[in-house]
Amino acid sequence: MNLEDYKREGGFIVPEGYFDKLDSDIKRATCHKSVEPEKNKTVFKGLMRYAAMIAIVFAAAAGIIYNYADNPAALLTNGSSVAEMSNALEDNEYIENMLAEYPIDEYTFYCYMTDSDNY
Amino acid sequence: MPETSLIQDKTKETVDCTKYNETLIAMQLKDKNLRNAAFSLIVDLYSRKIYSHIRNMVLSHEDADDLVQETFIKAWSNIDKFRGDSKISTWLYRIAINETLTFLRKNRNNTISLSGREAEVADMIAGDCHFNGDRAEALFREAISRLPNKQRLAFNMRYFEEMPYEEMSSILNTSVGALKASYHIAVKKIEQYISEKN
Repeated sequence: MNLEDYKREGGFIVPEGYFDKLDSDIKRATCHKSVEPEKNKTVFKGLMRYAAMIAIVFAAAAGIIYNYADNPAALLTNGSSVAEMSNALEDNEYIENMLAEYPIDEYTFYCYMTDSDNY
Repeated sequence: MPETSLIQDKTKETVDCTKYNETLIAMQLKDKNLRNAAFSLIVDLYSRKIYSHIRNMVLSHEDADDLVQETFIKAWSNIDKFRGDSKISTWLYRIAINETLTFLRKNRNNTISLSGREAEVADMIAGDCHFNGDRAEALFREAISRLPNKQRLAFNMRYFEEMPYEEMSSILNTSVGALKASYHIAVKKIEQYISEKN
């Protein structure tokens, strides 16, 4: 088989006049929507962000140490905690919080979270 | 209702490209008095490309329609953040990809792309009133839908949009070599899937 046989259009169609309507819909929508003023990024804000990230990492590490202080081997053998961590990664709210805290763009983050191993 | 193929509408882009000056438009976007007109030109020029890109990812016309509008509204809202470091098209594609991946993630339980229901894709597409391809083309779409998101993005941009690897690289922030490898792997996977199905 040859992929060139299928060629570029791929069978998708749109209603006639759709793009004219789309353009006017977008222009109408943006016409009534104000531009968000650019926020001034300061060095201080950037440093605060990194400080917050470091604090989160230390807090998480402290939490793990506190929980497993009595029985450190449980950290490696307790299957349920690994499962809980995996579930947490799937949780939308967790992902949104990560996005809010970490200085990476959404696209990079989603690629990393979804299929980095497959790329 | 009469319908139009995506290919037929590309002729307009070719005409508009000759009048388009990227630097001038980027400057006009900074001017509050000129930005409305400049943005209108951007919408005229890129709405079809962005729609096609999103449609190839989400497959459904209705979803693509919503997402392309969201993309341009988000671009307009954040127009002050566009610094002109990249091309306008690169900036728009990045927003569109973010919107699309966010949509796919939020709808993973009820859309075809991430739910593990890929086997139903061909049937769903074949029954879509906005699809006029045959069974083989529906199967082709099904094979693409089985790819991981990054491979699917690379394949769609290269195969359907015929985008140069260098441009893809700046949009996806990935090396040209990695994109070529991704595309090659995607092609092999698609060919193998279709061969197995046939």
